[in-house]
Amino acid sequence: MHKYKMKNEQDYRTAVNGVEHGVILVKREDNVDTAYGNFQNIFDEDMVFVSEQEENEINASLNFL
Amino acid sequence: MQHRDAKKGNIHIIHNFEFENIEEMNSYVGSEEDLNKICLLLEPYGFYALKNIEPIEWKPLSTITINLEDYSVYSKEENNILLNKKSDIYNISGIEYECGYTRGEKQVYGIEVDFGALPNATTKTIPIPNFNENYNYWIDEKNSYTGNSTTRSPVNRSASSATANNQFFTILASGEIKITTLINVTTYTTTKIVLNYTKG
Repeated sequence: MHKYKMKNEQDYRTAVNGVEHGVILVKREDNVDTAYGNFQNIFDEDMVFVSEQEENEINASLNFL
Repeated sequence: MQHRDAKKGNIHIIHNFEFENIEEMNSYVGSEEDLNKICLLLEPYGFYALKNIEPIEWKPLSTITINLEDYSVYSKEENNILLNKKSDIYNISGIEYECGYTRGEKQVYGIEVDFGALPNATTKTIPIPNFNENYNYWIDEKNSYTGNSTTRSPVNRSASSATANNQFFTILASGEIKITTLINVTTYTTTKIVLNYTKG
């Protein structure tokens, strides 16, 4: 899983399989939106790997109701 | 003349006595036959029934007597000050404010959270400012909205259908507000979520 800081509200990058966007979660903190997901182009210089702990937190955040 | 004696078109004055002032009314010496008869007092104007003759006692008819000294009354200016103060309490802002009412006898507070744009068919979260796990949070739905420069829509929890601008939200126990959308609603660039909470 990777993350990147979104440039604007339309900055949803392509998924690994190339179908639509790969964002599974957007976290907004201090007016900065960070996108998490699995993306087609993982070599974007502004994309970084998330740690296993952070990935677990993302998954936990997605699974609550 | 009694009611029953009044002919059609005649005028029947209902009072039996007429007094200029209270002193004159109270100095009247009545008899048993006068009990329950009516007098007209000219100053202050009003009708009275003779309840008792010794001592003389007149009771006002259909009149409520209020002693103003028993009440504390706000002036118009004082009322305006209080009303303005109340509107200040309800000022919704990004810092903690008092809502001016209670829930379960606990003071209710509010805070507006800038959620930014709604997501594109995915989930977006934002931490609750100064989250306290001992507080009881809920969403002030009627004061929350999403939209753009020209549109405002309620941020409601709606059915899971991708056929409309659906979004639903809830609050994480870990202290986040979460909105999931089923379609691309990123054109809703301005989203304000108002939270209410009690401290405990």
